[in-house]
Amino acid sequence: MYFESKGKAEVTYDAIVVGSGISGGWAAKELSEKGLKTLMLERGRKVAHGEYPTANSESWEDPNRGRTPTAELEKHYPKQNRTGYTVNEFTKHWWIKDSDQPYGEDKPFDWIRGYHMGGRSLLWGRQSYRWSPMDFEANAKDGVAVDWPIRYSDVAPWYDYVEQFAGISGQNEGLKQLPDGKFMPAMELNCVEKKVKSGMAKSFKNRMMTIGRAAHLTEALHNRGTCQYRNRCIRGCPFGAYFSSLASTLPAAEVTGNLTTVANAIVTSVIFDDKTQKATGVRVKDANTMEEKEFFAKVIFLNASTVGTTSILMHSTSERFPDGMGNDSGELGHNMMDHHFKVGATGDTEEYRDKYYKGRRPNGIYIPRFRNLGTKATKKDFLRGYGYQGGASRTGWQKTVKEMSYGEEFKQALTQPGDWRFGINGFGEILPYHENRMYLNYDVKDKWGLHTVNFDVEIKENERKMREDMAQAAVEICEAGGLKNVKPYERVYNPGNGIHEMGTARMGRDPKTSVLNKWNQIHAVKNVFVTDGSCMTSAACQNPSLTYMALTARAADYAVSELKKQNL
Amino acid sequence: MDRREVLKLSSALLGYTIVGGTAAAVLSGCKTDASVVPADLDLFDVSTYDLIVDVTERIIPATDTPGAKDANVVSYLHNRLKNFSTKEESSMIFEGLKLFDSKATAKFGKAYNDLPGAEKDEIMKLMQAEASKDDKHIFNQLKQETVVGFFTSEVGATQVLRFDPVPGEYIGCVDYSPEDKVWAL
Repeated sequence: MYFESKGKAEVTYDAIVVGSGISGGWAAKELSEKGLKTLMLERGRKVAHGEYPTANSESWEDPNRGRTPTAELEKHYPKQNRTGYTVNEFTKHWWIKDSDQPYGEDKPFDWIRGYHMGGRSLLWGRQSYRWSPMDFEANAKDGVAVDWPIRYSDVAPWYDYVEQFAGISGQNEGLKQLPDGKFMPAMELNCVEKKVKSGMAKSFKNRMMTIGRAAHLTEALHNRGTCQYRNRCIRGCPFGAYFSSLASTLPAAEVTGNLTTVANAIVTSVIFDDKTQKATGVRVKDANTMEEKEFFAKVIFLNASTVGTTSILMHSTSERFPDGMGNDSGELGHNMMDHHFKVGATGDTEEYRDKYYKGRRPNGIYIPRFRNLGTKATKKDFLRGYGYQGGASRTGWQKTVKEMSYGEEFKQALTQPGDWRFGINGFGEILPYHENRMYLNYDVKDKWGLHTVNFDVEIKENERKMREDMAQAAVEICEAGGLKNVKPYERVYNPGNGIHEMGTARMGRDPKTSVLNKWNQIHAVKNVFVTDGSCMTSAACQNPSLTYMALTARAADYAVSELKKQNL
Repeated sequence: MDRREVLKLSSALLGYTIVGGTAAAVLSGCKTDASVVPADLDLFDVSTYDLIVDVTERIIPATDTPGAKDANVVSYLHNRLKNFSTKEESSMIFEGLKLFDSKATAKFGKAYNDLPGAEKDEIMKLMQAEASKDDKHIFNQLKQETVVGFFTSEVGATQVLRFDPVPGEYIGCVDYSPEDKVWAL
């Protein structure tokens, strides 16, 4: 064993951070910058910024033009590919193989993930929106689930802080449902987006369009370059132009000299000391050698992603916590949320045939929530709301070819852009339902001997009513924008497909009904902080990562002040 | 021995096959009789190979810019069939390809590959006429896949369309005139 050769001091740190994704990267940066000797444990392989092997690959460099053969997809990625965009020859090294990492589904649930240094911070959609005061108040106001133990004013300064370090481009609009932020210059709308924006503004008082607020640099920041508009973000950005742990938080943590990172380190459980009622460290299994080790620290941040963190807590059983660490309330694993989407509308226009665009903007338009804003005019027969993401573009050579002939004229026609098309896709809030849950499957273990996870999650009546409205209002927007051939669409949405899973170790005011307190501490184990998506008490309809960043920085600041006061 | 024979011989001797790039460019313009089917295109016999090379080149011909043959679209189509089609889909494609020969025999009494160019084009027109009434017609499938294979190839993307791997900026509205071309990416 490790100790016999190295001694306990070698494996003892001030802080342990489990996971290197968006929130783990922030925890490592904040804790190490505040002087804590910090150990970051990542269950996946080591990757350094710039090690993006396909970042400059072109389609013809692969015999199948980047498409992963069907047999391989079916064997290794049947679930990871359920999005339709995640797995191809230029990205597959970032996703786990389902053949290695099984999970169970009582109802369809898409658990899409990547295990490597940086985690999904390399793969995220980069849309970055603040929550509003009404989002933090919603549960209390509606009598849904439990109240958030914090309000917007608790988080606002931390939004300021993380936005300025991460680098978010966007436009302040002065909306109460989508607070302004500290933004870099916004990316541009194109001609048809502007056309729809102005048509919509004329027809609707409450609906407006803004450019997506995205974690892409439009001005240089720290050692990172600006966006080059290649739109190949998912392969990893050699310019460091979008926010990721590898490009942003981990380099900042490393310059302090206080950070140690260990890859291939699967945390199997958190160690609990009955005498002190505190966690003392974590148990780790090496993903390759299966060697088991223990690491110790005064404070532990769990940032292993919603499902990963919840699974670790469920595996952390003791006499004090027979049902999983911090699970006095019985809520651990419950209240799973995501954002439901895949419903909206499309339309086209014959105008602007003499206009085009230059560059591939890795960002789209945003239509902020306009339902249930507290006024009679915005009230609907469902709770909460949704926003739309989308954009306009001209079709390329992919346009329909069947009505055209063949030969020289056909070839020539394909070298010209087609008409403009516009489309929007709603992202709606899912309520926290106690019965929507993940749980450990004691009958099936993975190859590291850990229990696998099962999901039992579905959307319900409120979401279904909202989806009807999402289709209808999208049609209204396209029509108000002066588009032709406007058509609604709705495709089957399965929970998890938004890759915004959250809520399974929620924050709350009462230890009897929640897992974490207002500082993201486990109520009964104060030196364990959980600041990834599992902490969320409700889901709002905005993309959640920016909020995870803000909550993490806030919790790390509190953890260090409590350590100094010797309260942890 | 002409250049084409040398290429064919050397590829046979070296046990590999010449596809794509310069070799294809050198070979293009030659008649397609007695072709060597590249060894990695093991789903195609000689006549199928010749048929597909000819038909795809007629769909996207070389003009002042490269065409399907230069882009080695036949190789793309082979891989498409091999790696992405079920057995049923694949046999339907091969069945569909027989339409070229059955039409050629009915009209001119010869297999498609044995027809002179002008008569091949007659058959192409018959196929296009049928395809315009049937979305799933083999000719539409061939056209669709030829387009994908061509414009995702290096010559298609970089010499026929406008290729800009690192734009460096995004401008939402720029003027467009028909001399410009669609962006490759």
